[in-house]
Amino acid sequence: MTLYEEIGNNNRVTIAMFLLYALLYGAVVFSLLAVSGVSPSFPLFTVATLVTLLFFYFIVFPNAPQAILSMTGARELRKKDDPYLFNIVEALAIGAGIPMPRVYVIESDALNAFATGPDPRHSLVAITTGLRGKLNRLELEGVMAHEISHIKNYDIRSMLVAAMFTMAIALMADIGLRMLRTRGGGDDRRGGSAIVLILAVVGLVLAPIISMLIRLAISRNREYAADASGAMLTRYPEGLANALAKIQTENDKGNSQINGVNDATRHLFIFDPAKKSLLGMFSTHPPMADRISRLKKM
Amino acid sequence: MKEIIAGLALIVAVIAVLIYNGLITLRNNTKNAWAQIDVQLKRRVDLIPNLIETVKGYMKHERGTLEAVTNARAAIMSAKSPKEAAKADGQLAGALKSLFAVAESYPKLEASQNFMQLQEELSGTETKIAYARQLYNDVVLQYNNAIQTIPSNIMAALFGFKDMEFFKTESEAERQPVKVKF
Repeated sequence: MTLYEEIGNNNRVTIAMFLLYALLYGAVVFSLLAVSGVSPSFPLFTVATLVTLLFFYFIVFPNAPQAILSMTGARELRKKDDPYLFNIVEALAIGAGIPMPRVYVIESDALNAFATGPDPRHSLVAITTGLRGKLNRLELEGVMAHEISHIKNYDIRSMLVAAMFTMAIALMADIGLRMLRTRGGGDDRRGGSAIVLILAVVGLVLAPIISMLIRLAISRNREYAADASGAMLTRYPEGLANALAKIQTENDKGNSQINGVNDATRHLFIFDPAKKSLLGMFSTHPPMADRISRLKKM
Repeated sequence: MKEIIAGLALIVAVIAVLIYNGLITLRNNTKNAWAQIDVQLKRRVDLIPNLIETVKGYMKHERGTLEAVTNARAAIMSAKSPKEAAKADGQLAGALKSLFAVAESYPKLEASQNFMQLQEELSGTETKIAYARQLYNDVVLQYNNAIQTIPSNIMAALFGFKDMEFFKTESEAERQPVKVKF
């Protein structure tokens, strides 16, 4: 696919995924109602879920970058520390039309980089000393363009919304199943069909798993999108392709551990630092070989 | 019947407003992007005095080369129209190229910290100018697409939104492939 086709395609896939989320959410709510009727505590649970989600979105989310930085021991880069890298990031931010993100460096031999922040005005990019040392100018530009594209496309925010959907669905499925257990037999307000009930229960059990799979699919899709947007920014897909190849070779030797990485932060990195060999659909990132071949075809 | 017509008219009006606002936003984006190029061009001009100072001591016999740079800078600062400024800008780019080519015969200069930092700064600024121009062309493309496609072309024609020009290189010389000799 050409560059332009890639970008359009990726955005359509994202929209489709979020529609799927909305459908799943609707199905869960429906199942919940089927199982419990309209229980008096239902409004309470809805409000509690909403408050939790708002708390995450407005309070936890804006402060998340600081937490990740402390966990990984990153230090902020001043222009005089590394004018070469600083100029690269500044130039790319100009090309992307966003304010320049702050730049951080992580002391580590692992080859990796990430970007985070609630919106382009409050964002940062980080790179390991290992990666900084290994890449040439074109490859560094490719990697940084990928990270800046994440910021510009509001991917971090999209992933948070996806995570919030997952939380809400898991919470409501849990409540639904509990209600089912405490309901007891013989309470037949809905006069209802056992089939609907069975489907609702199956739905509630499967919903958290399906929602996790959707979230991972969105994460992979946004990675492809950042690859394409980054290539568009530099007009040179090979830069990132070569950088990814270098990262893959190095990290295959088993050298990819970074301090402070856990399941909540794994998906932010350009290469999954905690990757065990799992089925593709459980990965936050698409396979490297796939990413490289898509870039080379642009 | 009257209510349906009124309802439709309202919907059309809302859509028209949204399109108009969109066009204004896109046009302002292009103005912003153009101004951003100027920011980087000014940065490049501001680096020149420092460069001349650093280089003067080492390159005592290259007055011609140094003067070319200083004159080009003066030409930029006194340019009265965008066309003049673009021409002077090309002049400066050429003069800088010669200066750095000549600097290669002065190993002591090349090794000095100051010079290396300035080289990185100037090179970085050239990259930023290039990206600023790229962004300008990207937003001009968005704007031109908007005023040429249906339905926004209707609003564009009604309110006099005109096509904008892409940034193009002025000189034929810049279109030739670069020859590198060692």
